Order: sequence, then C-alpha cells, then structure tokens
Amino acid sequence: MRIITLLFALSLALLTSCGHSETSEMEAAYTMTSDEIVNAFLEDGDAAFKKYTDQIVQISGPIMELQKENGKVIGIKLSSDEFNIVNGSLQETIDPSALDGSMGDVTIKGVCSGFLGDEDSMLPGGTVELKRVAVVPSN
Amino acid sequence: MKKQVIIISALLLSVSSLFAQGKYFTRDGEVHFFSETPMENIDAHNQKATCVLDTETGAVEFAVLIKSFEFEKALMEEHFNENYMESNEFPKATFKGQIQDYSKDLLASGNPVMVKGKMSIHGVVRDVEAKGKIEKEKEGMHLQSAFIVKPEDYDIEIPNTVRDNIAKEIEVKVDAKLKPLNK
Repeated sequence: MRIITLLFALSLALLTSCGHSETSEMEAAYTMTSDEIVNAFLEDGDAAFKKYTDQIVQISGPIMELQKENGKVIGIKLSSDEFNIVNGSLQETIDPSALDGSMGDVTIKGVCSGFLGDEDSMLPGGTVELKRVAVVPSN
Repeated sequence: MKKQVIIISALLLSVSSLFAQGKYFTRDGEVHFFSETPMENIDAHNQKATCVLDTETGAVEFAVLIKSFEFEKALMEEHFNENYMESNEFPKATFKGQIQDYSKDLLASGNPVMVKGKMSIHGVVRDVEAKGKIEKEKEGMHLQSAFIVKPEDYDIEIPNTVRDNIAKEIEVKVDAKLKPLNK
C-alpha cells in the first residue's frame, strides 16, 4: 500500500512539474491570415472563441510591430489595420535579425487565448491574442 | 524681445500639445500576480494587457484575457483556467476607473495617484481603489500600480485539497508604457 501511495505521489509530483510543450514542434489545428482570424472574432465572437481558443493556430500576415526587451523580440503584432490585430507573445525570444528576410510578412504559430475588444472601451478595435508563439520558418 | 516671446510660446505649445493629444494606450501592458504560501509560490504573468488613459479626463481602463496569463507549469495554468477562473465562461478581467483629484499637472509631477473604479473578475464587479504612479516619458506615459486581490471577493472557489497552496490575498502588479492614440 505504501509503495502505491509513494508511486502516486511521485507521479503527481512529476506531472505538476511539467512545463509547456514546444509550439514549434506541434501541428496547427487551423491555418489562416491575420485578417481572417480577426474577422472571424469580429463577425461572431462566441463561435470564434469556441473554435479557436486553446487551439494551435498558424497565422500569416504583415508585421505591424515587434515588441522588444533587451534587444530581443518577445512579441509580434500582425495586421494591415492599426486597430484590429493579432498580438502574440513568443515562447522563446528571437533576435530581430531572424526576421530580416521576411519582407514585412511572417507566419507565426501559437496558442489562441481569445479576443480582447469592447465596444464601450476608449480603445477602438480588438486583438486576437496568441501565447507561446513560434515563428514558422519560410520555405 | 519679440523673438523670445515666440520661442517661449512655441515651447509652451509643444508641452501642452503632449497632453492635448488626449488618449494614450498600449496592448502590451504587463500584469503579474504572485501567490505566496508555505506550500508553494505561484507566479503568473500576462504581457498583453490593454490599457487606455485619457489625459483630458483622468479616466483609465485596463483589460486582460485570463487565458493569456502564463505559468511556468502547464498543469498549474490548466487548473487556473478550468478550476478557479473558469475562463471559458469569464474570459476577461477589466478595470474602468478615474484618477482621483485629477489634473494634467498631476501627470507632469510623476507623484503617486489614487485610482478608483470598478474591477470585474470572474463575472463579479466590485468597487476598488488602488495606488499608482503615472510618469510622463519621452514617448508617452508610464503607468504602474500594485494592489491586492482576494479570490473570495470575486467568488473564486479554491478546492479544499489545494487551499493551503493558494494565498488568500494575491499580490497583483501592473506596468504599462502607453503611447499616443492617434484616432
């Protein structure tokens, strides 16, 4: 009985200490452009939330802004529209030069957290948020 | 003399125009929370908070997606979303408030400010007050605040089995660098 309890405790400890899977190694459930996913949330937020949230989505689009910290890229915003955007946090920081060959367009893959936007807000538009994002290498 | 008047007027105009722009915003605000107990410490962060400050009125807004909080351990993040915050049902937390005794001089001084407003977490809306600091910077405004959130105030139920692992008072820190909103 003690051995079973010990094994259970060890399994639990092992399970709770696990980190997150590497997004770059995971297959995307959906592939689309930044405009397409933003429009999906704008047109029917509830349906898009159920479909995309917690899923790995692969998004292509023009780089609107790079969020940097200590010279490294920690986040990427994709959009052709200043106020309706895809905003992703990178799982691993990258050097800005890694995006030099992108010609302004990039493909990223990450876990969709949902859509943040409110008609009553002082901030117009909305944001589809992705976490643990990886940049997909261009072929 | 005429030239000096023009230069001084231009300087005054450039300073006042910074505030005359009205609203400042970010979509990359940082929100950290920290729970400390003898059993374990839990640290989570969200770097995608939206924040808007209206320098004309002193109105402030914050919003975060609950699912955008990241934890070191995957299982902890799953429990946070599914068991405690029920983030499929209550996907975001918001704050809408007003800087107390507001004037534009208050922003220029960089002195501490008190913000009062309504916080919505887990579908529960409460009146809250928080101390903060707003400093004018070269490219915008820097807003910082720290406050305590009690899970029970927002009907967040912690199961008995993990009650000792989660603090009754969670420390929340907010740090946002805002840029002018040109719309």
